[in-house]
Amino acid sequence: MASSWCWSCLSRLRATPTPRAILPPQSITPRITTASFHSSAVQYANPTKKKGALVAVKYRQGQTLRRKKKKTTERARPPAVGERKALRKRIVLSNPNALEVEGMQDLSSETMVDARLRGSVLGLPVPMLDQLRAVQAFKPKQGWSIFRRPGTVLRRDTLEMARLFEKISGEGDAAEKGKVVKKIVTGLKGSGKTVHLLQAMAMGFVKKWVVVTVPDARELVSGDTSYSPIEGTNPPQYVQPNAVSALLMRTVEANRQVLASLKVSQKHSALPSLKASSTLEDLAKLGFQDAAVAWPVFQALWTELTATAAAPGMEKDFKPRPPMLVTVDGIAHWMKESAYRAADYSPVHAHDLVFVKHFISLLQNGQASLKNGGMVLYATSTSNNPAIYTLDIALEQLAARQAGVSPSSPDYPAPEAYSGADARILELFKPTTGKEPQFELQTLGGLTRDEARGYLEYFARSGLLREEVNETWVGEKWSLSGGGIIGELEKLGRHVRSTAQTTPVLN
Amino acid sequence: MARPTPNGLTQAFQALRLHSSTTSRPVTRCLARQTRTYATEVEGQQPSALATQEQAPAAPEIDFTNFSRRPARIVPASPSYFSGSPRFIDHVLKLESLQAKYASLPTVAAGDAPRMAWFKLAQFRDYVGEPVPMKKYKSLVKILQRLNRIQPEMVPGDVKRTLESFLRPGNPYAVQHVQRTVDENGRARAKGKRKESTAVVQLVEGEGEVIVNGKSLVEAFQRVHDRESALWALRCTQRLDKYNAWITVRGGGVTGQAEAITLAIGRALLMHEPALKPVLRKAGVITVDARRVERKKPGHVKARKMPTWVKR
Amino acid sequence: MIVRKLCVRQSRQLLALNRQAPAYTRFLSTETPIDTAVQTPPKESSTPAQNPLHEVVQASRDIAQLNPRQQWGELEKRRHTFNNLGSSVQESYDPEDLIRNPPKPSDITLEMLLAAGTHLGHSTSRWNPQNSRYIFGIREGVHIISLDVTAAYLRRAAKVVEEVAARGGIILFAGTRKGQKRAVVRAAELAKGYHIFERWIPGSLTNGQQILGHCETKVVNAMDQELPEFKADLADRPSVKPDLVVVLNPLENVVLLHECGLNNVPTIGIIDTDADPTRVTYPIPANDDTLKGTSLIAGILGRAGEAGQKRRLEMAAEGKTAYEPITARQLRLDPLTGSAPPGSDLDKAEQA
Repeated sequence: MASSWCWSCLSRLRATPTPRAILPPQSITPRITTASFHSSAVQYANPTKKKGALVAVKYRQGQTLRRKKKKTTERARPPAVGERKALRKRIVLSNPNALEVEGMQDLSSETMVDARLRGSVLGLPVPMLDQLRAVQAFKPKQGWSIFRRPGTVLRRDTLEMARLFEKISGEGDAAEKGKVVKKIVTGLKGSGKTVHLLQAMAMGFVKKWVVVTVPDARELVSGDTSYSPIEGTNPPQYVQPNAVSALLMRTVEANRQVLASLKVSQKHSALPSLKASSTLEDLAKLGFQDAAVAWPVFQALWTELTATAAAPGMEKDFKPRPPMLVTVDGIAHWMKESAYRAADYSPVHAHDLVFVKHFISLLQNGQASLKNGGMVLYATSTSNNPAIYTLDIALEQLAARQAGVSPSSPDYPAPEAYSGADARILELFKPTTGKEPQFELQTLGGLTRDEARGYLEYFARSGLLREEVNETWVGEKWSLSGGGIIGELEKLGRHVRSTAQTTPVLN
Repeated sequence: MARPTPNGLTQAFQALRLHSSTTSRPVTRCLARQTRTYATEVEGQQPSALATQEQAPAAPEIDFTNFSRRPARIVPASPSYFSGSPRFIDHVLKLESLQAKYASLPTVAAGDAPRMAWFKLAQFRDYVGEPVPMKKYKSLVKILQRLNRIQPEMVPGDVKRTLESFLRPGNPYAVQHVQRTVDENGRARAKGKRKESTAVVQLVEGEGEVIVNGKSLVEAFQRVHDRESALWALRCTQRLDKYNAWITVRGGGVTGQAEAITLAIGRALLMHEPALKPVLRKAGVITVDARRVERKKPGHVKARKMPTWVKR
Repeated sequence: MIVRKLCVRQSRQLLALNRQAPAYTRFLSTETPIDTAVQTPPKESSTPAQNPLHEVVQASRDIAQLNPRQQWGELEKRRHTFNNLGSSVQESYDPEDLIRNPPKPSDITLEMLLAAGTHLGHSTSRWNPQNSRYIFGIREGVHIISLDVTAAYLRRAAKVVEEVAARGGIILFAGTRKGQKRAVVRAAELAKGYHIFERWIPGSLTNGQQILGHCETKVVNAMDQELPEFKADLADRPSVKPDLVVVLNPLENVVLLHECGLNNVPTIGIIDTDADPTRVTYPIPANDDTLKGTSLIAGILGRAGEAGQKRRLEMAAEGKTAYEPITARQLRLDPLTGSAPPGSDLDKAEQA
């Protein structure tokens, strides 16, 4: 088959282009992609009309598609650092749109033990609100902001606790002054564990106790605050100076009145700058400025508060110390390894943090530590709760002991073999020995129907509920809230909506 | 054309249904010249081969001298032989002829006709021994239903017999459901289903406490709506504070479990108080929701969703 | 001229004035009025027998009290009484008649074929030129099939069917189009043949053992009585193949015709102007799109088969067959070793 190429033509075409006077300029001749055998006809033909712009184009210009660039719109200024968190953590305690509840009583030393007021809502006294804020007793997600002023239900557990407060303060008929009550508060989600702690704090303020709180146990183990090992300890212990400093600040802010009235009564060699005549408030304030001495200051403060007598030579201004209330919320976070790391990068167990250990050990040696009596309330949490198998077993053991199951019986719950149970936790939850009183497990359940009715009536009287609160309606809400779980009752009570008409019963 | 080997030729003649006596002749495609032996489907065999030696033991009993005992042909048993499913077609034709024959007989409304349990498809397939498609069996059942609608006093005997031959063994409609009642401990036990969930409820008189799978209602159902729908039977009859429920629910999701409980509680409540039936019926509590998830089909993204159309 | 119409046409006002007119128009008539006697209210007791309606009215009064069987009997009786009243209709077309009582081949007339519409072919553009010899002409763009050709071919096909039936052949009537079912079944019933009115399963002939293997067969004697003693010998036999296939719609049964061709089974088919006449052995040029036409042809062929069967049975009654009957020995032979018997007894016998 003959080639369609004439090789001589081809070489002439490519190598030596003949001068073409009559040809249009090279640039506008159509490009011949395949030269046919006789290309002259194509070459000499009139150039085909090209589409407009192509004639005038210069090198690399206008060939590409031009699109308008998207204009970057100016965004609003991003929120300042911490602004969002502040918004998130903001606690609103009052709603001016809600109705003032007529005849609502405040929490006081009389009302809190009054069984006739059971089921009613007691308002928190206004001057106490600052103290409660200082100890961070209010949590953002609680529904304080829907009522005119904060108040809590006087339920059975509250009344029992109030009586304990009276006893420990030495006011009741059966004086048990100086006793230490230790409780672990558990319960379903929304059953009011944190509010129970808040009520305890309020009662502590009413009774002029010293209130020391850890509002969120997680903050101490989540690796957010600075920590440093204590020299000479084995296994190494760690101190968290900033967290201690913050605790001192909270404590002073909340208990200023009590602390200012108490004078230093012991010698503190670690604090040379402390004057002999200074108050406990001054002592605590030492830890504010310099976080490095916060831990010794805290230790000094603790010894001062738990002192039963003054050191020799300092008896002049000694006043008996009040009982102490210690509360911790979210205890489960302290039952695992913390987010801190040791020098060899091994995780630090929460019990190796001195500050944590200090509070935890109160369960075992509370009476020994709190010599003036007091109450230790540690609550679990269900909203931010690590699943800790050993703690569950330990709480079950506690419940079994309370139910009268002896630890040697086969019914006594034990961790499964090879489950890797944490021995330190089991050790912590072992029954105490000697004079030390046992710590208890307090499981918060739901409100009774009467309490629930009082609570829902409070909603109605605050203008949040437009329905008639009667026996059947309350009973229905009580069932729907899983047996009077107070958080669920609150959801149902604040649910302003048109409920479906229930059909009347025919018979 | 090459001359074929005798073996191949035999086969070829079998296919052509020719006599083996024609093996000596070249095969021709002319139909007119072929000899056909009708009434036989035995191919390539000479009928004169009734040889003297008889080996089969049963042979002497047949009297071949008798013309009527002599076999003549092998024919299909049914005129529908070539349809591939002769028995089914014969049934259909028979029923159609019956329907045409008794078309003028008065009928009753479909609801008034006696309830008959026809063969299920699988049973019918076993009965006829043929792979009958669903659609065709449905058309047959349609005829059966029409015949069944004939005024019961006037059903002719042959129709009655024919219809009875299509009934599945055992009469499922004869079984009367035993009304279940509260047991001696005052518990009413009932089941309910919805989507993939199954709920078993034990309802006793009480104060309105509800336990779901050993947990409280709040733990089992986070949403208020689910709790409300689970207890709707009690709520709409205002019995919430009069009964305690102990519930076991398995499978499915939250909504399905809640609505399975609704149904189960409704049924259990009926055992306690049968007079509540109209109220519960109106509230939609004892109505079974039989909807299930539609299966995914090949070629679809989901049950019905088609893939996006893409140009090329 | 009709007075009534005149009134309507000429004076509407007259009608408009006279509002009772509709009641009277019923009685207006061009016929001369007959004087009738003054009507007296008939006494019911005196004239029950004279009034034919009396019985009916009486029956309808107490029909509600009867049980359903009696009610139906009453209705039937009434229907029977009144159905033959009124004008007597003659020469009417009853579509059922073609199925119930189809004509014999000897009754074929061109009028009958014309009335059945067998002459109508397809649009001329769709024709198959091989059919040109059957085509009479073109009318309104449609080919007209020559009816005398149709009649001749139909008679020939009828003869074929009759002869095959007389020789004990298996005749299969196939009409798979919608509506042909009854005609096909009826033709098969008449000719003692076989029918197929649903889809032809491809491979029923070429792969018969697989497709028809499970279908029952039987051994009959010359009088068509079943011989159950040979039932055991029927196992593992090849499936039965038809000896003649009648196709009412060959265009839609190409597979069937192809298989028949492969198996050397002769076929009869209704060939419309767009069909290929060489696909069937015995074409019947006719319209295959009219159910009336196809029912007629199927019926005629069924009748032909009926005649053939009758003849065969008559012969059998005399102890004769027009075919070579299968022998007991052939039945006993193992069908698995092939139709040529083992040890080639047959060959020896043949040579002998």
